[in-house]
Amino acid sequence: MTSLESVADDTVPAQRSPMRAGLGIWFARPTSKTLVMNIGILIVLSVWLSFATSQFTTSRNITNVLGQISFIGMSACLVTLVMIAGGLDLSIGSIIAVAGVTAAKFVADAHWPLGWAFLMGVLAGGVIGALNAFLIVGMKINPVITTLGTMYIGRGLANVVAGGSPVTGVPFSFNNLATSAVGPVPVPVAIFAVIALIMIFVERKTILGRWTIASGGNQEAARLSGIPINRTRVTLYILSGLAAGVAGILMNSRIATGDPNSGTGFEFDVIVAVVLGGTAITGGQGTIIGSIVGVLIVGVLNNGLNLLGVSTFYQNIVQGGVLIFAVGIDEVFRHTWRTILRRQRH
Amino acid sequence: MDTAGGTDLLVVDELTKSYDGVQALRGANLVVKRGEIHALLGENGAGKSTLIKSLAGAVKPDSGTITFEGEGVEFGSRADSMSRGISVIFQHANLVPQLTVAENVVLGNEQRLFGYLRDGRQRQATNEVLARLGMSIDLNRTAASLSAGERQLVEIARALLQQTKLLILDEPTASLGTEEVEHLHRVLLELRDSGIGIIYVSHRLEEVLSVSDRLTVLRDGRTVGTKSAAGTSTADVIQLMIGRDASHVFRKTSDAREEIALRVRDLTTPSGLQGVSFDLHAGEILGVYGLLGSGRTELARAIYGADPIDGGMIETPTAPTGRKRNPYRAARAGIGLVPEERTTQAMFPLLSITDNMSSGKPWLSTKWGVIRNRQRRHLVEEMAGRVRLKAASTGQSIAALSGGNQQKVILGRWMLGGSSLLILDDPTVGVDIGAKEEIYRLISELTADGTAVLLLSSELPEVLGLSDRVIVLFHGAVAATYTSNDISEQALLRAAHGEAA
Repeated sequence: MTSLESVADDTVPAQRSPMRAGLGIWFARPTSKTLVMNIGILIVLSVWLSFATSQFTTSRNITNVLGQISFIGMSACLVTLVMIAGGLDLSIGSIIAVAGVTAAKFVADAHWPLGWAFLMGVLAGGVIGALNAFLIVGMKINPVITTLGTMYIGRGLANVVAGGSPVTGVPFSFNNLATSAVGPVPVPVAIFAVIALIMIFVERKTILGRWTIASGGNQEAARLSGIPINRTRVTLYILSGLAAGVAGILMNSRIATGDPNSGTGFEFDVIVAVVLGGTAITGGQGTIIGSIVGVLIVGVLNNGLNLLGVSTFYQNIVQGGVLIFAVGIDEVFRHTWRTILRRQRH
Repeated sequence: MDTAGGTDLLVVDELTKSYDGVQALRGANLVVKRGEIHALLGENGAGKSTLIKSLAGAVKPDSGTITFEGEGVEFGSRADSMSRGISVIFQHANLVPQLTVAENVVLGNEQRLFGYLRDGRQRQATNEVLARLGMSIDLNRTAASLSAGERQLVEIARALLQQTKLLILDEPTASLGTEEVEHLHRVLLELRDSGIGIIYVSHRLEEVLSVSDRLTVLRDGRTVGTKSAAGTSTADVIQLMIGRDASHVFRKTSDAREEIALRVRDLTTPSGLQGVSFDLHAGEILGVYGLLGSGRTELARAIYGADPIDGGMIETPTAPTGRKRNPYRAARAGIGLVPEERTTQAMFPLLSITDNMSSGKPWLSTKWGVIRNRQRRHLVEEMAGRVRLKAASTGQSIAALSGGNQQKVILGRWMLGGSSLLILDDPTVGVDIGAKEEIYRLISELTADGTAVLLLSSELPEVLGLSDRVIVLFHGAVAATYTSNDISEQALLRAAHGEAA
């Protein structure tokens, strides 16, 4: 190792010892290895599916998969940050329904212009996010319990407002948002791309991103170094609600109604994608890029299982297995990484 | 007291142990006879706890031998040591709070018959042991409902039930009232008379001397003397505990200025401070010395706004007062805290040196919440040079650094952009000698630009060598105040032990 004094003096970058640099690539950031492996899995899975099924590579199917990926992805970007900060958000699936029903009701019953109705749908998601933040940060209730509760509350609310069945009397133009395109790019994909780019920027280049990682990595240290951990977590939960709200109006626009049962199981797909992407369930670790690759895998896998004609029951078994496998891998890496660090030090 | 008849139960010979380059034991010797109470004394960091942990099997010594009952032993684990008949009772009782007294006493020693607990016989055994300790407790009460003294006795009962031959008590009276202490001492004398060897560790010298037969004093990891307790005064013991040459002087001239950087008045907290008052001037180093549990860390956290306060006043020129205090506002107002527990309270082990160092004052390298990377890197590298950080690069994970270098990163966190008040809580704990000297140099340099330093420490030479003034805490209150001219180690140590100066 060289002393940093020399680094400060001249412009030559720090010399890394070869061993440390070599280990660093693989272990200094456990998620980078997960990322490489996941991209491999994604390629193998896609190539195999394109041979095993005839429909996988049709443009219609690709559009369909990209749509699914967009909905899961825009929510996953925010859930990643929530989980890095040491929290969890299970309410996103219900927010899909709340946002969709809210938007549909504003159009069908109150006859609001479409744009404003959609905005109200997104804001409804933000309100549930704010409720989560209030309960978790303000009342110090465990995030799993809180968002499990708001997941049920949200689903119930959506059904109450909609009257137990999809909202009727929605104009045909309700459908335009999700089905139109910006040039060659479908609107949901474009919105997903914009959200992803903004959130990756936030994660990497802003102080909110640093605060997120720091407060998940060591909450007490974060507090004592003057990081506003409460403000950070409140912001993330509200943003997570808003992102799920955006996904909600798009999903409901696609089916041209406000369906109180839309988004059922959505939170499962998102959390599988995030965990598969290398975000530690204990917080402090993870990347949005990793989650996006996780989303691609989940989207392709779900589509593949459908195309292969696997029944829903077996699909559930596979999906559950993937989640547990992803967490298991996470644990194994964490252990290896610690052992290596220990060895390096002694 | 005459105990000459006892034979050697435990012989510790030239034990050494180092942690990450810090030499905790450099040749500790200890002989404990059957049927004696042996006091083990020394300053904070003298090596007492490392020695106890070696006997308990929690720490593996680097060299030296332990002979127990005439047989050379090497303990690989706690269970190893326990099965030989050594029981350690730590300061904070190791009972499972939800379990009943009976369940706690037999824990790990349950008598089973085809997997069923033989409740009746165990209760009988427990009752017998408790009676021997002069204790009548309902066996169905949970451990959580017991007083500190009762919990201690339950632990001793557990040790007796396991046929212990050597009982080690680490600061057993720290949380006991006078009557409970007397009862404990009566129990210990009885156990001694039944032939058990007892090692008694305590900071309360008078108490310890009144009950012990012999005493051994450790200093800087070495045994400096073993004496008979009869005829030894607390002054003699303190002399043995200090004994060093006072050549460790890190600085001489004071940078203290007129203006006051921190004014504390009648500070009372739920964490145990009782009416602490003092002033700290800009450019001054105020040492705060106190034993474990005297309120050092509690004072640091209260001033920084990390813990709530009940009453009194904390005033700094820049930060808000009263209920509005919190670490976020303190950091914004130019106050920095280097906490006692580096790994759990200061470090982000998964993040880089750059992230760790820049976390305290993000506004130095951000604009509208966006990080300006070049500026940040520049700041951190400059500071890394100033604190003489030894690392491969500032992108390296902080977890891979040595303790001393980790501490330099944390210190650098608050030195970036300057601080008006730095609170250092035991800043050199777990740091090797070389890094220690450098941290001392940094602290003494800090005051040149008017930074006020509150140096809370458990190490006497550190407080004496660096401070312009020293206050001594005892039981959450200021026991004494000294200026650098009239400090003596003896007076300081006496005040810290609650004896009038």
